[in-house]
Amino acid sequence: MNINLLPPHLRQEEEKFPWKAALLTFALGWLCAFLLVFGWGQVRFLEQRLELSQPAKEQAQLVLGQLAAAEKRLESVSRAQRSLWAHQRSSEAFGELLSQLRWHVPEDMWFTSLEINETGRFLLTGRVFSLAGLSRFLMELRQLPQLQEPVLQSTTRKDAYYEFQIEAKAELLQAGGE
Amino acid sequence: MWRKKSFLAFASVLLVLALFLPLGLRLWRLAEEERAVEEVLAQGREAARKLQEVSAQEDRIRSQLQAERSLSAVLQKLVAARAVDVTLAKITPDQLHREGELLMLPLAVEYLGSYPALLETMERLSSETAFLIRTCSFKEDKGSLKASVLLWVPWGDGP
Repeated sequence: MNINLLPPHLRQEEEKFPWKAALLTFALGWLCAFLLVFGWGQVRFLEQRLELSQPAKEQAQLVLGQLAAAEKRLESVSRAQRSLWAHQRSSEAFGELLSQLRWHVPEDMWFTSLEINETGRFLLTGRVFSLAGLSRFLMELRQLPQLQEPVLQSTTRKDAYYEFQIEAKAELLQAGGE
Repeated sequence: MWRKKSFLAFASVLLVLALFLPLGLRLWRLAEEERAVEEVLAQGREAARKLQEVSAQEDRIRSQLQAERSLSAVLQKLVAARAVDVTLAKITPDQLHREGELLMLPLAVEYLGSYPALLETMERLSSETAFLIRTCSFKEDKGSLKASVLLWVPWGDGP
C-alpha cells in the first residue's frame, strides 16, 4: 500500500484509464460504421430499383405520348362532328322550310320558281288567282321562323291571274357554318 | 490536456460529417429521383386508363361520322329519296373540298316532277344525314318543273 505524504497541491495522482470514454467512443465508432454500411447498402438498393423501373418509366412516357396524340385526334373528330351537326341542323331547317311551304300553299296559287341560295336569299315567284289569297300566303310566310321579313317585291296582273315575286332572308344557312 | 481532448472531439465530428455528408446527399438525390419515377409511373397508369376512354370515344364519334366512299352508294340514296313521279335528271359531282375538318363532295342534282312531289323529295333529302342541302331552286322549264339542288356529301375517312 502506497501512502502519498505530499501536500495535496503537490500530489501527482496517477491517471486512471478512461473506460467510460473509451466505451462510448467504441460504441459510437461501431454505430457510425453500421450506419455507413447500411446507408451505402441502401444507396445501392435504390440505384438498382431505379434501374429496374427504367423500362416501366419509358413505357409510361410512351403511354403519355399516345394519350396526348389520342386527345388531339379526339379533338379533331369532335370538331368534325360539331361541324357536321351544324350542317345537318342547317339542312334539316332547310327541309323544314320547304315542308312548311308545301303545306301553306293556297289552292288558287302555284309556284313557278323558288330559289334559296348559300347566302340565305329566298326568292319565290308564282301565280295566284286572287290578291286575297296572296295576302294570306304572305301572312303565313311571316309566321315561319326560318324566314326573316318576307317582302312582296312585285305583283303583275296577267289575263286571269296575278304573277308575284316574294323575297326574304332564310336564316338556316348562316346557322350551318362553323 | 483539455485543449487536446477538444481538438480530438472536433476532429472526430468533422470526420463523421465528412463520412456521412456524401451518403446523405446521395440518398437525398436518389429519393428525389425515385419520387419523380413514381410520379411518372402514376401518370402512366392514369394515362393508360384515360387512353382507353379516349379511344372508345373517338371510335364512337368516327362511327357516327360514317362518311360515304362511293358514288354508287350516294346515287342509290338519291334515287331512294325521290317521291312518286319524280325523275332524277342529272348528277354533277364537283371537286372534293375541305370544309373545316370535313371532306365534302359537292353534288349538283336535278330532279323533274310536280311541285308537291319535288318538295317532298327535298324534305326526304334534308332528313337524310348523308346529304347536306346547300342551295335549292325550282324552275318551270317548258311545261315541266325542274328542281336543282346543291348537296354536300361528307366524304372519305374524316379527319
